Amino acid sequence: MKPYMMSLTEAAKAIDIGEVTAIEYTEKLLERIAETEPRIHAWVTIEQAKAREAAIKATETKQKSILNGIPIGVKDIYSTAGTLTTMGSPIYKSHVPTIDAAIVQKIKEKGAVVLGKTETTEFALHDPAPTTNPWNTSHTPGGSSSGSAAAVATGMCPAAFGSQTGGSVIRPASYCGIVGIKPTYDLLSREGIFPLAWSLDHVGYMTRTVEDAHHMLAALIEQEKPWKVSDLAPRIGVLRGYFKKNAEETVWKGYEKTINKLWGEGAEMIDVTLPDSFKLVPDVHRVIMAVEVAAVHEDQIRSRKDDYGDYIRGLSCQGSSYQQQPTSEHSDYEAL
Amino acid sequence: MSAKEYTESAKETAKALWGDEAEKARTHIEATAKSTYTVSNTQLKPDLEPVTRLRYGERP
Repeated sequence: MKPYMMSLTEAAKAIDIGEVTAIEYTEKLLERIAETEPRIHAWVTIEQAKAREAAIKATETKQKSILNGIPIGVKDIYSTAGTLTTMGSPIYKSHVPTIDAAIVQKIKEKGAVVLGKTETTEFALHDPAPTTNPWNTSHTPGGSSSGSAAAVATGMCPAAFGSQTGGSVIRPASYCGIVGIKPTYDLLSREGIFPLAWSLDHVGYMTRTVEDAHHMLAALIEQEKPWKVSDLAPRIGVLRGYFKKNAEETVWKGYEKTINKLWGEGAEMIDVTLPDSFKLVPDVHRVIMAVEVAAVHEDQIRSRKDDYGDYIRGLSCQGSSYQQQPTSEHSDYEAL
Repeated sequence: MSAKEYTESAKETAKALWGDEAEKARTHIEATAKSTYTVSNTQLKPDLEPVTRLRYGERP
């Protein structure tokens, strides 16, 4: 197997038993980036020197963590001390933070090698990043964590951080054919990450295998232990209803094909019914996001509107005027 | 207030605050106004909504 296609777990084992050093592994991934990046545009900044330095340190210190010596990409809305952090916006094109986001600090303490910063849509919202889909470069990789998904899918790194307010981790992961995980709200600290809508923002990440996703989460929440595959068949919830009604036919066929495959392999499939009010979620989400995006950006949009894309300007315009709007006589929603 | 009236009111508010910029943001204003109106005018059924019941201090 080519070194760049090793999963995070395989690479960690190889480093642990001395089959490969963190330095050698990092060099292989830097070679892979050099070969692939011109077509994929996954990175805003590649920190070659800092990555080599971190790989040497990981080799010397041998942290007892699966992340020791593992090169990781970080979305460009995460603060990284001494490394350009642009938020995908011309406003921050020269912004170099002095501190690391809490999660970046944590992975560094565990011996991870921060390879660089991955492309994001503008402020992790809508206006697209330059990244292409590795499976078809004329297609989108999905956003907003576009660079992270493309980098993991192409073997430039075995894992990369993204963030999700709506679908910004699981969508690009899906488009690029990898694993995306959006942990429970605030399970992973948002400190030092530029907010999109703070009530909805989640720290998440991508890997190429479920096993990797499991190990990485265990490391991030300080619960590392040996991987043990259960003898019991997995129990998987299946949603239809609202989703079937709103999905395109080809998407739904793919969904059902996957369900059948999992069932055929022995998984227990359980139908799950969501409360009727679930249909309100997209509307509730939109309103919260508009108001919070406006709270973050309104002042700056007024002074530098030409440096903002149309989508974020439009959303802020509505969000900032929202509080002055009357709603209705009904107050049932307050029950939520 | 009807949905149409509410949306018009949203547009007027945005125009007062943002001037011409509000016209460019018309799609957003209409979509968000529609969402706000929908949420505000949906009557939940407390006996069928676990989230609502939780809010009232009951377990589903």
